[in-house]
Amino acid sequence: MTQPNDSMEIDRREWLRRLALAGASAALPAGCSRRAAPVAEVLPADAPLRFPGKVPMRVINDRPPCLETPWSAYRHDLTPNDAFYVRWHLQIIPTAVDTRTWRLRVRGHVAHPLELSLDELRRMEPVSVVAVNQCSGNSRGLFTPQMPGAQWRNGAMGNARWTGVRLRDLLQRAGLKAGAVDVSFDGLDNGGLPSIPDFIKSLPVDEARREDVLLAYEMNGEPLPLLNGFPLRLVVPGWYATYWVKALSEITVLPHPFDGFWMAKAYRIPTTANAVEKPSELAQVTVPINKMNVRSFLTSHQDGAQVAVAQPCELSGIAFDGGSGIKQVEVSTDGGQTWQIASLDADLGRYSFRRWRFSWQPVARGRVPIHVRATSNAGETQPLVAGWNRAGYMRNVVEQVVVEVM
Amino acid sequence: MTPTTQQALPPTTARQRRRTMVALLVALFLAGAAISYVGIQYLPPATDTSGLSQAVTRPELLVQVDLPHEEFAIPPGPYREQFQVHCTICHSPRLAFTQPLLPEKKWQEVVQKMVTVYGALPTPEEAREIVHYLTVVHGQTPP
Repeated sequence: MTQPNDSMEIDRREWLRRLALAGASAALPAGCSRRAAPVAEVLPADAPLRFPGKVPMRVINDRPPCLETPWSAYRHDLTPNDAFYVRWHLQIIPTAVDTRTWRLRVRGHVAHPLELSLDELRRMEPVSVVAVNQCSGNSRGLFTPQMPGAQWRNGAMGNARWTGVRLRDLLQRAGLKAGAVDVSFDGLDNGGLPSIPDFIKSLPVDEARREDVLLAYEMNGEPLPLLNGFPLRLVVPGWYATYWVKALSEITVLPHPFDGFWMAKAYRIPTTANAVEKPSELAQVTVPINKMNVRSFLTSHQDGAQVAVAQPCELSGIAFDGGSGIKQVEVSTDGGQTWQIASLDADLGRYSFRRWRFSWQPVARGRVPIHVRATSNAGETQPLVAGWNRAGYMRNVVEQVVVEVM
Repeated sequence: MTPTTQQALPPTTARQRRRTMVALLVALFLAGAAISYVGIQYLPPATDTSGLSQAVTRPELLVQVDLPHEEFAIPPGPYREQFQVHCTICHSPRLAFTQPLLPEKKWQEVVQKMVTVYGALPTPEEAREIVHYLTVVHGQTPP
């Protein structure tokens, strides 16, 4: 957690430096030549489904919009707003928000219900946090056996600097009454049919009062894009994005557990490590999904990228977890037989992407699998064999990218 | 009304008429103020309805976007129209066709969920027809 002003300045410079480096490295083959363009993410700029304020993105669904971030965006530590993935559940989404009439209401089991305008929120003490926002079902399309649901590859995640006010400050102003149990969050979206359960999520009151849970009105120093939750979005660092309610309009404090559909029936996981179960033996007991597990990715190269033999080549990528921070990243270029430790860039905060780098000099021509494995400060690491669950949540296997050494 | 006519009237009537005028003016003023108040407080502001600009009209106040639309070509197949009628009310047909190729049993589960959880409205027979359609056009061939 940092105050926005001084750290933002440093970060902006850093960001520009990285951007320039990324541009230069793309243009000049510096030892590690990449003759083939990255595959799979080259989307035509004139694709019919270009969404406002967004670069061309892989369209999982267009009504409601579910858009996947192009892989090249992860070369930046902070995912640019115009490439940040989009996921809505219900078809009536706010396409226009008038901040003169929009209000955030805090009500329920409180002494003083609140009704606040965006201006009033912006006049409160601003707080910033850099945090990964990752869909529970990120990478669902990679599970075997496959399951229905949005078929994301790895692009339903992003890292941003979120700025807003602390939820706990508002709850304190409203005055929680004794016996508060859950806090529920509702946004401006709805299903359009009365039979469709409204998208309302809840947090246990102790999570809601964490000092880093924010109501953010800015993302990377800009107002939130409308598709990412303008004018206000709940930010729950370390927890899956299903809790980060967009276009937030109503917060309700409850003296009993919240039992709405999106908590009681959807977004539930087995209680096993990494939520693993067998298709033939589904877990009987499930709980609401919560903290993210540890993951890492190679972002400098994609499957099929060409690399020059006997020349130094920098591999780089990202790692993150549910908030303990990244302790170590290891790289294997021999199919997982041996692992070597990668260097880590500056720490942007324990909820952020952590950039890792590894100098590699391929010795022989041919197809080479590259594996990356992260370990968190909490001691958690990534499995070598993929787990499975019925909903396709929480994938965190060590991923493989195969490059061509030429 | 001219001064001559006013002078022609008896003094008491002129006073009454003046009083009526003042009362009318006050009433008009109050009505105007009330309408303005309601307008400012409760009614949505006028917006750019040209439909051409999807950019922000006034960045800090009103943010709006137009979502793109591209008619998704629903593949031909038996009971295609049942799929079209019942499934695309709530979501784009694209969502169905970005799913993996699922066996009939899985499509049954999906359609059942749409009915029981989200309130889709096919009759049981139409639901079976939709499952048949999806299995034919986006299903898994049985081993």
